[in-house]
Amino acid sequence: MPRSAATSSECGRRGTVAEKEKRSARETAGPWEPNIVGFLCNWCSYAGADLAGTSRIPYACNVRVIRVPCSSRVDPLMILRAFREGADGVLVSGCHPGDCHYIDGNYYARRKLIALKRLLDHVGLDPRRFRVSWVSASEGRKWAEVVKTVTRELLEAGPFRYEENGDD
Amino acid sequence: MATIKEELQAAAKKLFDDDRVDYFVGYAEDYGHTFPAILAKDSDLSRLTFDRKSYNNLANFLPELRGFRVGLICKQCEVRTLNVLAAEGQIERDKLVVVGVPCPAMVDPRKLPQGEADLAALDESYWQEKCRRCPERNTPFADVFVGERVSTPTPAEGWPLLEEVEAMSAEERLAWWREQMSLCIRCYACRLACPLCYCHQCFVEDNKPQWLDKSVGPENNLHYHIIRAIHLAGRCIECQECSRVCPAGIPVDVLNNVLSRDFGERFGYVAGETAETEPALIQYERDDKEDFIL
Repeated sequence: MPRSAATSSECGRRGTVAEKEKRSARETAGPWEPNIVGFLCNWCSYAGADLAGTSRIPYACNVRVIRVPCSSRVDPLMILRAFREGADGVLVSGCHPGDCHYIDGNYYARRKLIALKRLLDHVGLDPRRFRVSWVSASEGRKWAEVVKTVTRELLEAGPFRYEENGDD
Repeated sequence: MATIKEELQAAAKKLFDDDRVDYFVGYAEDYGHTFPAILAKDSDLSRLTFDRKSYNNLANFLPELRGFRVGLICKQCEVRTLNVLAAEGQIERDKLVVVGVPCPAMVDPRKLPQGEADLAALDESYWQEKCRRCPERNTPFADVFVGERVSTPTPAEGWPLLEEVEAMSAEERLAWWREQMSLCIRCYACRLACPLCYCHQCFVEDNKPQWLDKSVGPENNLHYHIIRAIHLAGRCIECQECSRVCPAGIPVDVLNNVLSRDFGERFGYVAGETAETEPALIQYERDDKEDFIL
């Protein structure tokens, strides 16, 4: 799909002029690629993603990683903000339940993210746009798989249209 | 036989005379309306009343009156609110005198017939939705009980509007919420009326980082309401004050009900069930049901 078709609906999106220019440069540069914001916990998923890199496991480069101390650091506000700033999908990744560096951070995160997921599903957001995964520091291969899955699904889902979540 | 109004006034007078309270929070009547009133010792107690238009959740005033001894009229709505506030350390129970009342079920002002109506005679179709779901009409832990205890009809199951919305497809829900949110003028009446929105600074007023634009628009509005629902997750006691006060008539509480229902099914959790019930998001179980995590 030519990206220019979607630009009229892009006008209302928030962001600085520089961000918009960057976005339009990216958008006209070739076939559309999803823009995914990944919130990775420092102790497991970030190390797991690092391992994927050092192990030379090829995977899609669509995730922009934001390192957070713990998955429970991820406030639902950050996720909604990412969508408003132009993300097509958001991936939150943390330690497996029971493996949290802070003992039980990811248990709290899980409840919080379940609540957000339920609300986003309720208001009609495509469930493929918000994903959560548990990736440990030794699971470089799993991280690559998760990114591949999420990217593939978002390619199917297409760009995040303003209609999907309202426009200003 | 004394009416509930007279009994209430006598009870309030006695609380002041016995020097048990500094303030009495109840409902006053004027110009044909019933509205919440905070009365002091020298206030005119003859304004006190309790009828089927005493909708407001009076627990909303408690965080402001912290440090004072307060007498509070408690319906079931306030009882559950008190439980949540107590679990969160927001009220001092020993400074609070709970005045129990038999709740006659509140009428929905939006459903009221035109002109004069006999409020006492209005049947279930005029009630507020929450009153149809009410499990107990008499205040369970009253320090002082005023009036005759009433029987509680079998509570209705389910959330009709939520079920109506959930029956739509994802696209229809999106369109429906978008339409609702385009009506929102972000007056924050829902936040003000909510007895559990007691933060001194709300996230919408944050500047650094500025989470939401101050301007009005469906996207911003929807995000405001989603985050408000998250902040009330496992705390909302379904008093539906947010929807009642909304000047645009948006059923704001549907978002809260989504989580109330889901937490009930998923975690077996009911907010404000007892004074020991902790908010759902500050506790966890190791085997919490997760169904979307990769």
